[in-house]
Amino acid sequence: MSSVAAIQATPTEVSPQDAWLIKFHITASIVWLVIGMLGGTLMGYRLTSPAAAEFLGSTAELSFGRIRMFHTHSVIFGWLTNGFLAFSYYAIPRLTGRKLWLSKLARINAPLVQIALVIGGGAILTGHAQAVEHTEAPWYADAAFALCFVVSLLCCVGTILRSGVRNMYVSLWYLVLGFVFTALNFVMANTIVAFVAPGAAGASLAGLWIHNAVGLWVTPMGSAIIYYLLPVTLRKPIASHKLSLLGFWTLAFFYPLGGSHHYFYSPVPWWLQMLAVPLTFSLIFVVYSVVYNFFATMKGQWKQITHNIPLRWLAFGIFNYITTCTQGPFHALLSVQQVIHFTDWVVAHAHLALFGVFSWWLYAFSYWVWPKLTGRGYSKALAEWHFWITFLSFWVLYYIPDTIAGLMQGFFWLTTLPLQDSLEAAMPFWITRAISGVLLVAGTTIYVINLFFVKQAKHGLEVAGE
Amino acid sequence: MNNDIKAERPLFVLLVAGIGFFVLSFVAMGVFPWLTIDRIQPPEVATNPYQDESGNPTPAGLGREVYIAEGCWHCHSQFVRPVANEEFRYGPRSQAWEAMFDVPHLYGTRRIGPDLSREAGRRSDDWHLAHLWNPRSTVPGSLMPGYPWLFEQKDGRWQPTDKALNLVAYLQQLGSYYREDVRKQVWPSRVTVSGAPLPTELSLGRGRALFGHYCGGCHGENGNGAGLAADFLRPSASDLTTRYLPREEVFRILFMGSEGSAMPSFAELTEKDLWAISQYVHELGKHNRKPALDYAAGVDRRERGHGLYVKHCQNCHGESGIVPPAMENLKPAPKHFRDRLYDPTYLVQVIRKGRPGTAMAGYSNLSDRDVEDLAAYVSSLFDPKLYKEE
Repeated sequence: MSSVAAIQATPTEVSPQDAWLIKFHITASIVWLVIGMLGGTLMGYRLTSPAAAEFLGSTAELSFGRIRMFHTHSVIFGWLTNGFLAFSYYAIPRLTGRKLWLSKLARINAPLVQIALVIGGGAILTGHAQAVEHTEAPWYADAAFALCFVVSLLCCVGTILRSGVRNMYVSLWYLVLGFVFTALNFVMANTIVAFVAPGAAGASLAGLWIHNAVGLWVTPMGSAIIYYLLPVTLRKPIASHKLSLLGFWTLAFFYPLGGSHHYFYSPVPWWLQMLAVPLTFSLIFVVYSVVYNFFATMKGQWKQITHNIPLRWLAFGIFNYITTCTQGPFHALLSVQQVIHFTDWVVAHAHLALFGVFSWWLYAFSYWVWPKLTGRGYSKALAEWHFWITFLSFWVLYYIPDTIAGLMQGFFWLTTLPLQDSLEAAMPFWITRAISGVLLVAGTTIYVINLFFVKQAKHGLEVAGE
Repeated sequence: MNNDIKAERPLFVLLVAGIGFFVLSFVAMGVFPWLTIDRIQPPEVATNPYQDESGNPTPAGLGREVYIAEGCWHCHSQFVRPVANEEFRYGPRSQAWEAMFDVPHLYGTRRIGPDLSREAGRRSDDWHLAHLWNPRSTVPGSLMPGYPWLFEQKDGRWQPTDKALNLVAYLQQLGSYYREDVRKQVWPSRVTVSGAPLPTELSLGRGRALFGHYCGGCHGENGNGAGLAADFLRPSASDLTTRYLPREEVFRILFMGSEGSAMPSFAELTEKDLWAISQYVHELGKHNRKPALDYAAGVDRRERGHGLYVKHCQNCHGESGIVPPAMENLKPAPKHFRDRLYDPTYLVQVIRKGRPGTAMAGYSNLSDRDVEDLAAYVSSLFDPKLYKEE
């Protein structure tokens, strides 16, 4: 039951109501993506020269610091989370063979999620942010979002529990883990970190939140997507079910405990930092077991990525996953920390994970599911443009230069030269980063046009994944 | 089928992975460290800087709110690591108790600008205000955004609102327990120099570029004191075209800074660069040497001037214009007259009106003749033999 056969065996049709729900979340996610990317590009441009730093500089709402918080708010909660909700609502009925539980509530909830996010984003831009990294929206927006999140959790996890499925497919493990852990973690961050835990104790708990907003929300949701889409697009089962079991349980156990590596060499108790070193480093085995499984599944199928657009996003996302997850464990080495901590290296690394991996897997999901929901295809040519612009501009103009910028900063700081010199050393690389921002927005614009405005018959072209 | 494995059951995953591992990590990363930290005793001086005794927020507490709302903590970290030269760059490494009143903590995870946990006393309030209004006014190459909405235009110049003043109060409180250590590090008490290169060994172009880079914001691109920061600085930035400064003296000021004014120490620049700037600043005011010396020689009442100097100036500026060590404690310190010459017009004006922001008061009750005699005497204190001009 636990292989792709499970997926194929229950070809539940998407009801019109569910189709609306999924389309709503995908559309909302893409709107947030565009907004978040524009914010990121604005920030990128402002770091290109002292004159650029003053661009729109008298508008408080568009100030760098506020956009910095708005950017992560938009992409983590607006783009990725909406996308993950869309995937959950699509995949769970398919994998359990049951209708979505409380689906009416889920439909009412969908616009409420957006309202909570708009309140949070608006509060950040008007100067009401709270100082908890990655959840800077103030308490009232957090409370609203938490309620919406719990409703989604009920619908998704409720469907799974009520279905009576005893042995779930891999994707479902990840969905259950992601929803439950994150509900607890989000509430913890916005109560204990935001209002109770002082100083270093707050920092170690902030480590739990920051790290696992990525590690136990974005990562498991993304894993759920690829464990579902890879077998489905390839029409063959995942290579090793046992290996995926290993990958899942080691992720669930090791990942949360390494969070204090975000505060290495800080006054957070040293024993906790030391604990984070082996726990973080051990993730390399977790990740490689997962990646091995993907590669083993892809074996003999690589030629498909030339014409299958969703599969291509998945495959390139896997490559980015290998890269970013190979970096990660080495970040836990203290000698590496001395140089790269606080630098752009980390920024590049984080974008490789959240953009290069999980956003690309969401692209894959949307390209794959959109024709099914709308009965309408998309232009293959535009999809190619979207892919190549995104891939090239991200790697060549963003990821590699920003990584170098981080090294420049880190090694400049080891000298006794003025801090200012480290900014100037980074500036050429920040210029290419700003250019990549513009190109990524252009790529995303093509994506939007392709999904929403191209009138193309579904059967008139090779719709990938069909 | 032997696939009825517990580890794949929904409820097992939910309870063990979802809830169990969260609780485990919460205990490991929250409860245990918290208990450990509580046993670290803060020094007795540690009182809540953000609230007064009756629980009302202090200016620093209100400033912290501005700091949070503007997201300052996303580009400025607040802990000094014991590695990577940070103790040299910022000051003593951070201790857990320091942040005991910070809820939520503001350690931060990124540095685009410098760490701010050792900011207390590092720079003057003026400097901070000018920098917040427009960062380019004090650091021309800065990429920081300005915060003009924390300021308002009043009486023809930019003035800080309470928010800006609170924010500066907050910054000046950061690491205040280490104020003395940082002060010793930031304001060198003596100049260390390996030797002065010949002017021909220095590039004036390099000096000009560095001047624009580090000094132009306050002193103006042309060195005339009319930089962007002018509205905020008391004392104002010196007009470098109105004084003759030997390059050794410029080097000394650059190296030591002028505590009590917005003029920081630039000791972190390389010695050769400091000499290049010194040479350039020297050239800016070189033309004042001859007129000033002529002026000193031309007014033939230096005896009268000497009497006035003893009466009005000697206490602070010292006998023969050599400031007594005790007076070096005035911040900013009084000027040595043996090592500098002023454009007489400027000198007369300062004697009359004083220098706002310093201990130098104006002597508006002196007659024109008194002021002229005084200015002539002050100019005569310069030692041309010590500072020969090729």
